[in-house]
Amino acid sequence: MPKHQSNPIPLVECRHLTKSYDHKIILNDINLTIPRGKIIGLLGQNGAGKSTLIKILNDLVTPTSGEVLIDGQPIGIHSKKIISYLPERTYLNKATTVQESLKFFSKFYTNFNTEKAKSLIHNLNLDLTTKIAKMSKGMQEKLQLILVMSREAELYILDEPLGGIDPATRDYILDTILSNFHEGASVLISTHLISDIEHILDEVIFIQNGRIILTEESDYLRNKYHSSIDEVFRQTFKADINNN
Amino acid sequence: MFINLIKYNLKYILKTTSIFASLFLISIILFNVTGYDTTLIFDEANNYAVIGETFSKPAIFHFLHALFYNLIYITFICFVLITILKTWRRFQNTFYSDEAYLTHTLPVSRNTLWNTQICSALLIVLSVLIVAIVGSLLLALSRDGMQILESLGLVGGCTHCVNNYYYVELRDCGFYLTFAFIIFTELAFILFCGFTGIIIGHRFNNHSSIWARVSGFGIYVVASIILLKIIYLLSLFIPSLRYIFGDPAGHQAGLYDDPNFIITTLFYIGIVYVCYNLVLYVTGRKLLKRGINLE
Repeated sequence: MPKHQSNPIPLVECRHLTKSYDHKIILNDINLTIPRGKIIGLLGQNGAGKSTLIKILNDLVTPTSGEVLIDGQPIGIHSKKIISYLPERTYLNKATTVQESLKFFSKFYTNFNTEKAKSLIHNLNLDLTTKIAKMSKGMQEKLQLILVMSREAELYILDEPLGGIDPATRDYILDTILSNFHEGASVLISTHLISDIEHILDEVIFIQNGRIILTEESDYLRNKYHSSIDEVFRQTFKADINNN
Repeated sequence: MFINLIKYNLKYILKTTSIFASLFLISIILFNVTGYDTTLIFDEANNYAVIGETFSKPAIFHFLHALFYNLIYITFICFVLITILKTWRRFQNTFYSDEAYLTHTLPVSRNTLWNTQICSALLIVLSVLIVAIVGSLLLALSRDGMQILESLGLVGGCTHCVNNYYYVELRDCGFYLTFAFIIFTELAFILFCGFTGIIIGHRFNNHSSIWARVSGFGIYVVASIILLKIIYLLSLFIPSLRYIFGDPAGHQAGLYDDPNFIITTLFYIGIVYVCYNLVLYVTGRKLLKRGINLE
């Protein structure tokens, strides 16, 4: 029996999660469960609260109230061991080389597969001695994705992995994600470029103005509305766009 | 992981500061070489040096000697300043910049991250101290260098030449230890003020870097004022400390030149800095425990 089916504890559970800055509510009473072994799209417009939710899951932002459990435990060392996170920005130390970054990941993450990472880097024709500062921004993002996907994690959280990237690179990124995530793991992808990723999604979460407005299986939505997820998204957010 | 994190911090900071440390030490060596117009023979048993033969040297050597004299001060000030700034920068990068997205998602507790920063800072301060000691020892190899040490109060009494006898009166061992102790604690205090300022600054949603500078500087100023008050209070119980606050008896008794008086004063100031450092350590730890908010 696959590992994800044998574990009854949800991978992520958010209860009444709220985050506000200076009385401005960013996330409002979020209740959410992320199951194991699924690819989930966290979909919403810019400023909907996607990144804040992701940052809370990664202990980069502290919630104002509410509770988050990862694998049944509060956010902490255990959650960081099992979550592999790709942020919107490049977080690698620019003064280091590719080899040094690999070494860093292998030292700190026991679930990091160095051989897999090296093989993916080799496929990119990237020299291990290259300094990160000398690489193009696109190449840095690819390297970061390789490092993140080379971890044998239980949850991969990818924040806007397709933002500001040309179509060819998008294919590379999606291919890297699909071919490298650990068996039985879940992948949470935040994006507003739905048409590019909807074919890989098992479930979708629609977030709007800091609230979860829909959590559903992709196939169910497609069958129910006889249209693509992208179309469902557009229809759902149409009213909001018009109001704005 | 703890050691690895410290290693990464030190590597980042020392990469730059070692350049300035090397320039400082090279300046001293060249200062000694260009000023070497006599041979000094040290008589350790009698604690003096005898000037041997004097020889003339080209005028360019005098110019270079003056140049390296100034470079010693410039490179040392730069070394200390760059070390402080780099350590603060490292802390800022590790905890609050793009790199923080990696730091805070490493499978280590925030306490561990804070402790590694503190240990790295202490090791960096130690490196400054070692460079300063090596520099002083190098300066002690020449007569002009010894005069620099005298002007800094590191060698006492009369380091002057009388009838070919060059007197070098070293201070008490306790003086050097206390001096090193106070440099260590005060430099650590300056670094910790910066760390705490950065943490406080980033609790504000807007203008966090300005708030960080204001908070760090504010802590330093307030703590320095409190330090004076504490020493004043201590002087009520320790009579020798009373002379710091302008008691004329201090001048009459020549206490300002008395090594024991200096050692006692420096020691108590150092103890206050140790207490400050502990307070800042606990404050930082508690503030970080409340969580962070990365932009």
